Amino acid sequence: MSAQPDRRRDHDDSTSGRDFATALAAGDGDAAFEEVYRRWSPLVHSVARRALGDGHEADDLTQRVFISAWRSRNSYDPAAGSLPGWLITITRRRIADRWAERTRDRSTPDSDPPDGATGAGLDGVVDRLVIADELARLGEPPGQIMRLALYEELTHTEIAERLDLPLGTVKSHIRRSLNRLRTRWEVIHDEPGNDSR
Amino acid sequence: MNRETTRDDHTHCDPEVLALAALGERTDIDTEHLGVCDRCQADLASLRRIVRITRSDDATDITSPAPSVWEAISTQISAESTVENSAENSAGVKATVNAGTKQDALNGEHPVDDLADQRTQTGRHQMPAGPTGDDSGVVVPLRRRTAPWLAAAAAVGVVLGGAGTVAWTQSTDPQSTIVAQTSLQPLPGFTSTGVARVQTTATGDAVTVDLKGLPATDGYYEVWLLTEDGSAMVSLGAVGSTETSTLPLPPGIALDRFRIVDISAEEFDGDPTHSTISVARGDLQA
Repeated sequence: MSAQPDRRRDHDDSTSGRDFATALAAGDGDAAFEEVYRRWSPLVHSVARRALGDGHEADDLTQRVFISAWRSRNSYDPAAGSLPGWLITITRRRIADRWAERTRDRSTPDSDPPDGATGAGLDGVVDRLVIADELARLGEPPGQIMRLALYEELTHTEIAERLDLPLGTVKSHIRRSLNRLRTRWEVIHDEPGNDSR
Repeated sequence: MNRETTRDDHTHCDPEVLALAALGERTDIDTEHLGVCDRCQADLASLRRIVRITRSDDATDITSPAPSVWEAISTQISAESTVENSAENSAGVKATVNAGTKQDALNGEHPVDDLADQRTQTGRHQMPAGPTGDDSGVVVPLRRRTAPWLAAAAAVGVVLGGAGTVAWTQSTDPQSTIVAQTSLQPLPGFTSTGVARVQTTATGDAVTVDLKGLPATDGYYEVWLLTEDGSAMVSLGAVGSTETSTLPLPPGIALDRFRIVDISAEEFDGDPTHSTISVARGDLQA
């Protein structure tokens, strides 16, 4: 009863960059920004948590990212890149800031960021989390089918037997879901400032 | 259904077979065509990249920020919007916000520590900040207050801000003091959010509920206080879907027990019990 509502599934992809820009132009930025937060804060938080190694720090970083996004919201151009790509770019910058702070504060060798916390090492983390985030939104049964196919490496025949679904249905879900994951990955990599990596 | 009818060239590889091949299944893929078709090769390679990314060993837990994070952001951006557009000030801003503290906290190197220090220095209440113990990455900066929190807080006029960012709040009614509040978070399937505030007034305690994003309904919405496990509940009354509603609290209700503010969608069916359809919820003691 007191469990946190799972916000991953109740905000689907309605929050496109273009919608957000349109809402800003119409002076309805506050509500649109909250939608953006609901949709994308788990991804930002997850990336921050992997990069900083701590949920508490990830909360703080998520706050910094969305404050930064709010302050620069009028410079966001949907024609130049996707909204999640833009947020990920901001996330990477705030993570780099945070590591710079840590290094300055402690000046000890072990305050250097580990692999995967910054720069190119973070790319793989972002890739995996972007897809995990999308995978969590597939709904059922596509989500279950894809977990069995990707993680348990079952064939489509085995999945059809396991879930008692027609073979054609399973194949069709696999094709559509895999394409959707690919589209999400491509959209995230289509981001403004991508060249500044 | 095995071929995309939009394709103009039916000799390309079956997209379902390409997807299965990308997953590493043994397929009857047209290897002869694949060997000469750049498009099908690129298609397969990009799908294989997705499969490779998902199957890498690293954990890929998706974690959500604590509810207090949005509260802090929301408070910050509304404060900045107020500065940007001071004309709106005349509309009346309910919360008097210590903007300097927030600004310092956001720009500071240890914002949470700063807030903790500030709160401790005032001697109002301790804030044991830190992970909640589970590994979900969710952090609740403000934990449960001590038992006589309501009376004690009321006596000194302290606000127990869920986000730890509202240092002091006074409603527009000088006779009322906010003694507890919570953000209302949507339950799965809904997007409604809001804030519930418990106030003491000269005429008794009341809950003020601000809601937004409630779906249009032929029925109405009702405010409840629940125990944490949902084993008991008290109806506070019906609310409109847009405006701010203030509902009296039953005198003597134990808010440390009835701590969950719940908004339900109700029908005009004459049934006074909870419809079991909750759209938003918040914990007054979180």
